[in-house]
Amino acid sequence: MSKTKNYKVKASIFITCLVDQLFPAVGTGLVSVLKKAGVEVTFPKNQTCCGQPLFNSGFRKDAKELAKQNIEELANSEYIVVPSGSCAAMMKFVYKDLFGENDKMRSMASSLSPKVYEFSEFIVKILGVTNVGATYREHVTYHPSCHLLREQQVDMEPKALLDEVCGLVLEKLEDETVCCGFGGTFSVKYPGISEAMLMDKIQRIEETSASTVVACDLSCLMHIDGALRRKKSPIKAKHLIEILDNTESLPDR
Amino acid sequence: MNNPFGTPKNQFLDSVRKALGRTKGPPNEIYPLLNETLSTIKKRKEEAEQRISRKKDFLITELTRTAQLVGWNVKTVQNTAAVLTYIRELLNKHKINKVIRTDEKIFETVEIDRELMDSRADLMVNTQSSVQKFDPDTAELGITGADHAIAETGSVVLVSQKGSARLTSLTPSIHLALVKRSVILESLEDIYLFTRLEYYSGKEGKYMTFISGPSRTADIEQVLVVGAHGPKETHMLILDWD
Amino acid sequence: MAEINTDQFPQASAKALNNQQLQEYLTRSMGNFDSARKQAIEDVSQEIWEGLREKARQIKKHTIENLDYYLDLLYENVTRSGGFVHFATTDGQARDIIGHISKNRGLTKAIKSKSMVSEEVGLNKYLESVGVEPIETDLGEYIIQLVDETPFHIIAPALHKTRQQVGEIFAEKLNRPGLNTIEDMAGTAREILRDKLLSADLGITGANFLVAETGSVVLVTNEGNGRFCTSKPNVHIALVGMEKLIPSIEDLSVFIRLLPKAATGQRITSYTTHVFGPKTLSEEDGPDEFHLIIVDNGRSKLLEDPVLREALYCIRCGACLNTCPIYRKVGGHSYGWVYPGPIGAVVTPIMTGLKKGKDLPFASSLCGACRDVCPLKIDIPHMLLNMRSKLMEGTSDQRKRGVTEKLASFAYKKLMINVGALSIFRYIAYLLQKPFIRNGYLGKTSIPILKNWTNSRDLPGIPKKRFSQIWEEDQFKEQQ
Repeated sequence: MSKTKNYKVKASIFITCLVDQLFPAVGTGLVSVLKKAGVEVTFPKNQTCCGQPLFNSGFRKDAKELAKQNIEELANSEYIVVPSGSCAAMMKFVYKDLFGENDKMRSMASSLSPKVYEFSEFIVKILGVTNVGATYREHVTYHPSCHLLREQQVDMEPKALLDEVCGLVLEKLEDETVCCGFGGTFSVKYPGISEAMLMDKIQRIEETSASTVVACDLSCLMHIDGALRRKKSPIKAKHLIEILDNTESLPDR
Repeated sequence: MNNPFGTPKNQFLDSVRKALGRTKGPPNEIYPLLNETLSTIKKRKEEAEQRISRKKDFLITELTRTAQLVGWNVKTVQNTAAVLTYIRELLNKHKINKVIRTDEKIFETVEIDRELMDSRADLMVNTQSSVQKFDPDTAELGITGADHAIAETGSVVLVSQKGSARLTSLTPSIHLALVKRSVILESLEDIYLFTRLEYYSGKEGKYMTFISGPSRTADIEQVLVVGAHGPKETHMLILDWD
Repeated sequence: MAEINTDQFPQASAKALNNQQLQEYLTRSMGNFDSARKQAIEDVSQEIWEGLREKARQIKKHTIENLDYYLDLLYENVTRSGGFVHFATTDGQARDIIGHISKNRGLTKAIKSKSMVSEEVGLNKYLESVGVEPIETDLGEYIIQLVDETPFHIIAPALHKTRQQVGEIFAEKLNRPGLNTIEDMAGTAREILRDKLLSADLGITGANFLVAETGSVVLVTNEGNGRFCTSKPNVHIALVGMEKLIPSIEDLSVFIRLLPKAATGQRITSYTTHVFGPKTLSEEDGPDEFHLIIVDNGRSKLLEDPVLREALYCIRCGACLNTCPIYRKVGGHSYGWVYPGPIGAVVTPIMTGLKKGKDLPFASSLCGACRDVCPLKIDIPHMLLNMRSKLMEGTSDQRKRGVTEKLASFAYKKLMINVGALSIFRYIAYLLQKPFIRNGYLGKTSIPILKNWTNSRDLPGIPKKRFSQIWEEDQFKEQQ
């Protein structure tokens, strides 16, 4: 493994609802990859949903209660690693403004914000690692999620990580920056528009020769995967962590 | 004018102030441009003029380039004879019969009337008709000078004033502008600086148009095509002498 | 006021999505302005572009924060030049002012250059009612006037018409059949409108910028009709939103560099016209009477909210429309009023009624592409989120939410805080879904909560164990 720093970094993981509830393998993969990269991983148990679904729906007061719980639980962590661009953005940019000027939570949220990193951002920028010893002998195309690309300018990091996966051929996705159409509750409030945007994204994916589409957000992936499965497409949709957690086992002798 | 409709100024401004939570008075922070003295603006203009003068030859090349990019036909000429030749060719090519020109100073030194009469074109000067032969709006070719030209954008600047009507460069389907090298400026900053100084020097603000090529429209299928209400063809002759 | 159909967004957008022809056409043409804009930015360099954006934003911020001061300065300078300034708080006042001016001079024929504000106040119908013939001369506006439709796009009102459709309109309404190319159609419009451009007694324009320092109205145009409207008729009325102000004429260089590139990808438009009041005595032609009507019509509602205030920085370039993946699917008519697309989703509900327009702030995936392309860096997603919170939790005259929505938010929050309750809920859901899961997925279903998703997408099934459980078990194993 190249470019590993030789000290133990301690990081907490903020697991996110989608990983915890629906895609636990991404969670175990996250822990595994971080450990491989020399990180001592902790999982503060009292964490909960980041609150974004509520915030985006206009229910800031309810979102605030969830934010408070997370801010308090993560206050002592040195780094918080998040396997989701949108949840990371929520904690980085929105948490502080949920609280009034005189609320002590506001300054706690301010202190939390610089410690929050999306997964690929953490591995590449903080650990300085781009090769985690993974193998994935297939053609892959990468879909940049909006919150990660635009709000956090994290784009070369996931691509750099994918580039170093043994056997992986990374193909550029045409119109990659166009939103997939998920947008949270938008996907069920305006399913027609959401679907129309999704079909464009699927078309672009199918125009590559990739067997797998990769993203850093399970929300986008669920949406894209949902359509791929519905049309019985052979194309797989995987989280970046699932690719990076993939090691080739040695052939049996 | 007394208009019984509408909101009185003070009432309107009061409601704007209320929305902003402001009290009546100047802005909270000073706006540098609006706090300059006239002498500062004059000084800046002088500096600009020196810079422009040093770069004049480059600016002619640049103007040619940018003007062509926006659809002007551009030619640099060295004397009046060349101007006349160009006009003659233009008249022949398009079989033009009716020409209108402004009554700007440039036509005192670059005499084109004889050339036009020789070509048997009907000529009208500005909106007066020396020979009331045609409705100015039916002129096929409009010839103007240029108060300024902007190398950055490829534009001719026309200021409406005595002898130079707004419509002369608008109604004909072909517009020819004679641009003396002395009027060429470098950038948008320059033209606005010059205009600003004119305004403050007691001259009245006058209708000013930057003409950057022929008229266009992009209203159908987002495709830009040439030829809408203004001229379909524009020609710029850069007169490379002082 | 122009008809407000903002509450029709769900139906109108569904209709647009089902219009096969419109969808094919939008896919084909919507990218043109967007690519042109990108190219124009590349030509000057990203660095220069970013510098311009920042400068422009600072200028606009200062102006809007001190709008009353600059409006006063503008008033002074327009008046000094011999022009008249009127203030219209409502659309009705704007119409009445114009009616009064027309009556005063006995005007009967008005040529109009593009003005979105004139759409806002429903000017054309009003003019007809007071005996003034309104003639749209901007090609796109002219086309939609022929078929009595509303604008589809801020700068290209007839964008929803293919060239074939325009050809058909010209054949039917103008008795000019056989026009196939866009050049031909533009040429025909030129020919037909030339008479009217020269014989009208009133010219009505909007303005792209108002310069406080010199009392100037600035028009950024391509077609030349704006020049006609400000040159031939004896009376010129500029009908302008109060937010169009900038302090100094020297500030124009920043905006003239930004607007054409962001709007149509041009280095500069064919004409940049600067009006300094009515014609002076020494000028050969031009209007002898000039009126500037400064319009509020709901803009002060944007002004009074510090978060929404930056919507007034908008210079109406249309870049956000061109890049918005939602606008590119549903088109301008779905938004139900004069301003569509991302900026429309903000200003339309605030100016015409938040409750009636309650669907618009939610009709966005918050992707942020609009914010990225906006020459003034306006943070549209931030404002949409603010409007959503007003609708769900605002004061009684802002709030418009369903009981189920509030209940759902409450229930979600409670479950997320209470791990025990969440586990039970999850386990029940896990058991209930089991019979319906095939290969790990739930297919199309008519179960109420899941219906909208599964109509077009499979839904992953709930696995037996949560990550947190697995972690606990692993920790326990490690300690053994």
